[in-house]
Amino acid sequence: MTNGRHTGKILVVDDDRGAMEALSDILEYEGYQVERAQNGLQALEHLKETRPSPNLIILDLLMPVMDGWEFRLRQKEDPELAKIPVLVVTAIGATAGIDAAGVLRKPVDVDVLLRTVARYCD
Amino acid sequence: MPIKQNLEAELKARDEFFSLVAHELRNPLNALHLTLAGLLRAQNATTPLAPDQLASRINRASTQVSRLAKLVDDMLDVSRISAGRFNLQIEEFDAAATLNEAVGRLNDPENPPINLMTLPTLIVECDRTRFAQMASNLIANAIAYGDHKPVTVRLEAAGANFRLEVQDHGKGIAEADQERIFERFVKLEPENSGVRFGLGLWVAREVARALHGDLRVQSQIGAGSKFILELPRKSALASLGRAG
Repeated sequence: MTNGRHTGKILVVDDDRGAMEALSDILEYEGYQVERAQNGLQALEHLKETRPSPNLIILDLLMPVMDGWEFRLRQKEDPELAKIPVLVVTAIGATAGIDAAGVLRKPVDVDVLLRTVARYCD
Repeated sequence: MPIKQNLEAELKARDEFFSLVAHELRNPLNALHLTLAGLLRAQNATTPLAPDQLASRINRASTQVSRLAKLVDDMLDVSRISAGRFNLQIEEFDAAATLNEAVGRLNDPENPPINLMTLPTLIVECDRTRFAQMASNLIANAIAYGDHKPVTVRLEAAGANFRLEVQDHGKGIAEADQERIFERFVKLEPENSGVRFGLGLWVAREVARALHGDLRVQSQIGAGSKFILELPRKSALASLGRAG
C-alpha cells in the first residue's frame, strides 16, 4: 500500500533488520522504490549488477562483513557509483572521517529523514 | 598500579561502558521508533493499512521491545557479575532439546541455514536458562558475522563435559583480537568494526566459567570462526541448587 506522492529509487544498507524493514515501509508508503542490502559488500555487489542506479543510498556505518567506511571508499573508487549521494544513518556519535551528503543519528527524526530523501529523489 | 591511575582506568572503563550501552540501545530504539512512526503516518493517511499489515507491524514493534528487554537483562547480568551477585539455577535437563528450541527461535527464511548436529538426547546437570542464553548468543553472532553462509551447530558429549560448537564461515577474527572480543569494555573502533562488540560474549564467558566450564574461539582470517563452549555434564554446583 502506498501514499504514492514521491518517485525515485533508494538503496537502504543496514544490518539491523528491524530498522531496515521499518524504514523501507515508510519510504515505500511515500512512493519510493526501495532496495535493500545488509552490509557494504552486498550493497556494492547490488550496485554493480543493477541499472538504473538508485537516486540515493541510505547507509549505516557499523555493519559486519563490510562497514560503512569501507563501503564509501570502495564506492568512490568506481566513477559511476561515486555519483550516487549517500545519507548516513547511524547509532554512533563518532562519524568523523565519513564523507557523505548528510548524517542522521538513530533514532531518526522521520520528518527530517523524508525531507532529506525528497531533496535527492524528487 | 597507583590508586589514582587505578581510579582513572576504572572511570575510563565506566565511560566506555556507558558509550557502548547507549549505542546498543539506539538500534532497537530506532527500529521501534520507525515502526511506530510508520504506523502513525499510515493511520493518518487516507488509505489506512490492511489488518494483516497492521498486525505484522505491531509484531515488529513487539520484537524490538523484546530486544530492548534482552539488552536490559544483559546489562543487569554485567552488573551482577561485576558485583559478585550472580546466581545459577542448576537442574537436570536435556541439552539437545534446549538447543533445538534455541535454534528454532533463530530459524528464519531470511537468515542463512543453521545445520544442527546433535545427539537425540543429552541429559546434563547445568543451568538450563543460561545454557540457552549462551547458545542463542553464539548462534546469533554466527548468523550476523557469517557472511550469509550456513552456520554449523554441533552438540556432543566430551568425557565428563558436554561441548557446543558454533561455526561460521565469515571473514574470521585476527589472532590479536581473539581474546579482545571477550572483554567487557570493547571500544567501538570504526577502523576495525569487524571486531564483535557488545556484552554478550563477555557475559557468556563469565557464565561458562561460573559453571566451571569455558568459552573460547578458534578462528582464521578468511576461514570463519568456531566458538567452543564446554561445560561439565554433572555440575559440582548441583548439590547447592545455586551458586554465586
